[in-house]
Amino acid sequence: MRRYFGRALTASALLLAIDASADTKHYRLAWDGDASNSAVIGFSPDGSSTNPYISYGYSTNENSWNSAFVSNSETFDGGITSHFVRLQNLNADSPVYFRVCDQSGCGERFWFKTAPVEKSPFVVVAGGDTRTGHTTRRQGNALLAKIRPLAVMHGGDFTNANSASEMREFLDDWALTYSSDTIDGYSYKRIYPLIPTHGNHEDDNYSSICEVFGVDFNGDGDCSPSDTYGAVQISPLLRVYTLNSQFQSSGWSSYASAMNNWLAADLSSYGSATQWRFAQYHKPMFPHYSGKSDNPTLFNWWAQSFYDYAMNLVVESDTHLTKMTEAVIPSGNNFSTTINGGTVYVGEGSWGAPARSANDAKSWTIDMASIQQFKVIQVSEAGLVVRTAQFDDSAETLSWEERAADPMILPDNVNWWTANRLGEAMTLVANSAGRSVIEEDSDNGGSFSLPVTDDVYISSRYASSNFDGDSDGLLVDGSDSTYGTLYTLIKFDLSNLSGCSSIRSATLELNITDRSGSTFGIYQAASDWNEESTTWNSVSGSSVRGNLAESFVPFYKGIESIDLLSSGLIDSWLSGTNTGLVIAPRIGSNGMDSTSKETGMSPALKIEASCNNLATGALPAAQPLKQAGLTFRRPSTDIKPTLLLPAFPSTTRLGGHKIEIPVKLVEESAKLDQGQGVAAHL
Amino acid sequence: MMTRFFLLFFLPAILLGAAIIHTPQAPQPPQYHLFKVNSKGKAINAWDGPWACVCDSRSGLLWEVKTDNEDTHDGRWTYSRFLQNQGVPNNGDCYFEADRCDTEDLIHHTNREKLCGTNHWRLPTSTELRSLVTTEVKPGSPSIETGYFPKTQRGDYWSSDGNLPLKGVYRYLKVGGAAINFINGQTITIPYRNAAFTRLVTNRSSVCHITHQ
Repeated sequence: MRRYFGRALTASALLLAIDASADTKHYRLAWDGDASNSAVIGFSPDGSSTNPYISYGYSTNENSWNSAFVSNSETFDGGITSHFVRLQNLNADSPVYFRVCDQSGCGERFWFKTAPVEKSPFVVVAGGDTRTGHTTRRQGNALLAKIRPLAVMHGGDFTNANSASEMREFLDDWALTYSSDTIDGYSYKRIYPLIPTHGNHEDDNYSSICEVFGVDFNGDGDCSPSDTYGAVQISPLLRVYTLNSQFQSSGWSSYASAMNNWLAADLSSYGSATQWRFAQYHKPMFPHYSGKSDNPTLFNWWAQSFYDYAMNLVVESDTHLTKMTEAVIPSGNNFSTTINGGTVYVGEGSWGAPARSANDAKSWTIDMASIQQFKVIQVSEAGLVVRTAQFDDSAETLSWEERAADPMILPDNVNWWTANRLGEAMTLVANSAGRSVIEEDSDNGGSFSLPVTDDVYISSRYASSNFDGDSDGLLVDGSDSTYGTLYTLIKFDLSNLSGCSSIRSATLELNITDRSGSTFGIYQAASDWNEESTTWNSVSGSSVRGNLAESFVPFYKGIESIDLLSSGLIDSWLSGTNTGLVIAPRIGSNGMDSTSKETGMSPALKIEASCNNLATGALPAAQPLKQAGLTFRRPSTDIKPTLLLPAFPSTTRLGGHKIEIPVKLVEESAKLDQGQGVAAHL
Repeated sequence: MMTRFFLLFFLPAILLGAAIIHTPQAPQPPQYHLFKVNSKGKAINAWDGPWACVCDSRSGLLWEVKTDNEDTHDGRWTYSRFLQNQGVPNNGDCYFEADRCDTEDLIHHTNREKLCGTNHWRLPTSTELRSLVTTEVKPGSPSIETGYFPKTQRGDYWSSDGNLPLKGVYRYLKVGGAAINFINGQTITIPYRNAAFTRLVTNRSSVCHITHQ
């Protein structure tokens, strides 16, 4: 009898334990330091919750669990009280099971995983702008639950008004990111660590992200605007830098200085010790939507540091579209494409907020589109694979067993966005300096831009003046009332053509800011020059026009693309001296203006070629991805064959390398047939 | 007798009549070419509201007016360009469709609603859309008369002109549609898949006619 009574009592106690629940809600988890051993669990009272605490452990056996107590509580917008429990000294690479408990009992069962201390691979999700568009926001949240990343980077603009009511809706919707698991017979929710960013829609309260997510990046125990930037170490593979682009606003200069000093120091001290470096902040340096202004302050703050310290991937938000760029290097006031290792920029935040017209491409943009998306990034020692997941219901759901068996696996039927040239996935490897190099399929050939080394205009009326870096950009005119005749001279770095066996296309792109109906000619420069000292006199004026390569009429503002392949111009440069090109007027008197590398988008020479991938300086240190044992559910489209060939041509072999270009330059005498070049281009 | 009668009555009557005939009319202010139309299709005074459409009496075009109340005509909604099976469906963001949105969705809903008394709404041509562009605006404002066209965004608005060659980064997509950028009034060609703003027009309404000067 006693035995039956005892069993009944035990069963009743178990039922009570199951039924009991804490008076809490809106559970969230954040990372703000070493993700292998710490995390911040946040929650809010749901009614009257007294002395809440966390019960947690490394197995589902709750008898072995420990307790952790609230370390700080914050009130957001006078309406959301949040309690935060900081878990420290956690085991690395381990599941952490927990429940939030209070006077009413313990609530739902949750679990998350700490970051590894080995260089084992994982998946992260990165997006931003959840502020509006609840339907698509929820779709994105539900997709996240299916993907089961190790962590989530959020680029800011959590809500529109940054109000308590909207933040409650955000936290309600965030529950859709939980994955449902049955572990050892118990129902668990997997919760994903968030690394939050301050966006402009949080500007009425620069302490928003620490008040809502409990991050304490500077570890001072206070919630302040200084907690809007910091670094999260996710295993030896990845260090994530979160920055506050809103510190460029008036009144925040002291915070900006402190942030940028910290960034430089951290990159110097810790950056190189990590395989990969990511940055996230809200406002893009160069938004890909013309309705948004460029942010030169951010470029001046960070672009050079990113390059110098090999920031591999930057995730920007704010503009509500998707973009993928080439690996870029700062050049003047803008970027230039490099295949010798640089920084790749992706973005720009559309996790719910209405998509905008992707209408402002740069010379270093690979592709862009107006879609609802976040990035899904596979991180391994060998490389990064960046995909753009579009929000819909098509994806299969990974089980926790599948994720446990394979930290890199991705669900079937995700609606991946297909970028021009890259397809569904952008694969990045590191060069010897740790910078990002985009790995492309040799079957498809490389497509890249040659960096501009020199660009300048010369004036017949100011024949001894040098106009390098002039604020007017690059000018061409037959008879300008002030400057007289104006020519533009441009030269490209051809070293990236090393190892290319054939060139399928070569397209000059100019960013026209003042259109014209006149016809302009592109000539091979007859003599060498450099932008710092070139004047009309130094190149003997109009004699600088060598052979005519092509003609064009810049009817429209924006990008003017001119085919240079058939001209033989590049072959001529390679076989002789790289003197660059001259743009000069041919027919008509109305001039044209375009941006220079100092004033905006630099001229670009886009090449499509079959290349042995990289120049000597771009030798990647990493193993080929497939050799590194990465697994994907859909191998046919996920990873392209490696391009990391064992032997690379040295730059000294360039001179003897045969570039196949079919047509030679038009002799200067042929330019007298003025219609020829025009017809060819038009 | 006749002379007296003439001087006393007939002559003053003639003079009075002539004075009346030759009295100049009080000057009337020239009617502005834009006027407001309410959702039922009735013209209303310039200082009245609310209004759902604006008539341009120069062109005889009746234009949709945007809102900010998350209804069908909210100015923040974006649409991919999809017309008569050309373009990309459901690639913009509005909240009145279960799926995402395209230009035909807006046309369909607006015609079904009979906005301003007409069900002949369509995308404007780029020439028609450019007729709304004005450059005399405050810095930071869209290049349109915002007094008549509130909630206009600084961004691209779709026209009906399609099958145009794309350039630059979008060249691989071959063709797209023309849009007017209400930042600077420029016409640009963007891919059909772009999520751009949309303002509908009709030239078949009972309230809006061309005023012949």
